[in-house]
Amino acid sequence: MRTWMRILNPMLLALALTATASAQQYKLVAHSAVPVTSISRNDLSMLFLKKTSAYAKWGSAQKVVPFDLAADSAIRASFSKDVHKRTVPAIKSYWQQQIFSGRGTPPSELASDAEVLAAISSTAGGIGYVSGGATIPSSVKQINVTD
Amino acid sequence: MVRKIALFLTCFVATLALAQDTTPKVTLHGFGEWAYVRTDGNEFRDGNEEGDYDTIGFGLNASTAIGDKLTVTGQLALRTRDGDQAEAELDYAFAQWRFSDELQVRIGRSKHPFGIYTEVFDIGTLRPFFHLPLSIYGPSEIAAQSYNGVGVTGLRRMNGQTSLDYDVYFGEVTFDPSQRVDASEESEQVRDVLGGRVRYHTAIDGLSFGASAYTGVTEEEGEEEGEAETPRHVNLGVHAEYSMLPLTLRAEIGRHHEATEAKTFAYYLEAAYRVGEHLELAGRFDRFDVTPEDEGDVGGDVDHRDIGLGVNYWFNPNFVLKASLHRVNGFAVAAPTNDDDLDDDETHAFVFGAQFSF
Repeated sequence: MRTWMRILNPMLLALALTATASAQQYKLVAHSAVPVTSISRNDLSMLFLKKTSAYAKWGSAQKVVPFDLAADSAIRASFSKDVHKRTVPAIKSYWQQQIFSGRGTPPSELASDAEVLAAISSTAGGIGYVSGGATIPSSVKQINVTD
Repeated sequence: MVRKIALFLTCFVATLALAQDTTPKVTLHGFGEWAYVRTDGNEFRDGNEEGDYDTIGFGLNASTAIGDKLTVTGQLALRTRDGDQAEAELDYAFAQWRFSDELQVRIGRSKHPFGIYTEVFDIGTLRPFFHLPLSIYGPSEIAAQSYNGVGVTGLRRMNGQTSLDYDVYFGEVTFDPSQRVDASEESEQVRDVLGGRVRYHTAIDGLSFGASAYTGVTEEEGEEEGEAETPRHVNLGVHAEYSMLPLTLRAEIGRHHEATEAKTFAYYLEAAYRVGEHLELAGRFDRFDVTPEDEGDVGGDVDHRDIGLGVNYWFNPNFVLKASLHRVNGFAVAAPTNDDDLDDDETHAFVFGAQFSF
């Protein structure tokens, strides 16, 4: 038993570190006027899937405008897995369903961290994610993701 | 024909472009498909013993938001029918006003909210087989492709991660000839339709259940000269879906009853499993049975059974190659090429095609 634990412990630790690293590969950012500092994963997923257009804690009149990174971005893959609990192809299928049934269009896809930060800076209610190493300008604020 | 289509597309896109006075952009998307169908004798899905290359379709979808509340959306499609020239059809065109997440009102032509696939009838990248199951989406007159009228729709978040979405609509639905089992060459309108659909999305990601129903009347010539009859259609359906890659499971049961004419019972089970990133294996059992109200009707019961096995290669979520083999029993959809084949109602079909969306 002890032998098994000696083998398994490092493996479990490595797995936990990998999961943590994966969850921290992105930073959630929003327009500086957004009046929240944290948001739950479930609420965040609903906003990015446009299942809700208004987020009560955002301020009653403020429409939320999500921005995605391109489908082949590793940061998007990390965000999708962490927030939606789904792969990017699965999210793509969801949007195909919404588009062709006339029920909605996906968030704008932007090519880089710089484009996301610029779009959020100029959009009241804008929200997006960038790589963990990105420098956040003063016109944009970082938001914590909670369970 | 080409001029008409070009004019139609131009007017359509121009109308949406005019909306740009107050909005940033028109969003354009599209879809398309091509298939080769070959059978071992009888005709099925336009395929025959020689093989048919003429299943082709292409569509464009455009939408724009005018302010926060108003959305205008439309979709045009070009499809070949029975090997003829492509016909342009307006799949839908409607304006939607959003009062809240729970309440949105639509006016115009909308996709028919019935079951799993009616709203994405032509989008091959959202299903495992090239063709939709005929039981619910074929000639059984259960699910139409669109309705003309007024509808309300919305989504309500429940406790935790569950949610409920609904549609209620009033208007008219049309079944085109390919959706009629009596091989009529005319479309059939069902008017004064009142219907609805509700879907419950469970806390298990990807698992949902739903129920759909609608009723309406058709106008037909009565037995007496100059007399009109308005038989009532009543359609019901329930469905379950689990869609979470690598596995998708779908099942639907539908029932159509048309007073004085016939009743149809239909169902299918469909499963697909993604092996790795690109390869997918799929299986489906699809069946419907039409029973005439009058047992003495010529033709009697009409039965259709289709067992299908497929393999797909997904280049990405927007482009897929599909190949499938089908064993079909019954002449509800398949048809003998000549009278000598009437006794052999078993058809084997091979379908190979590509579908894309963007």
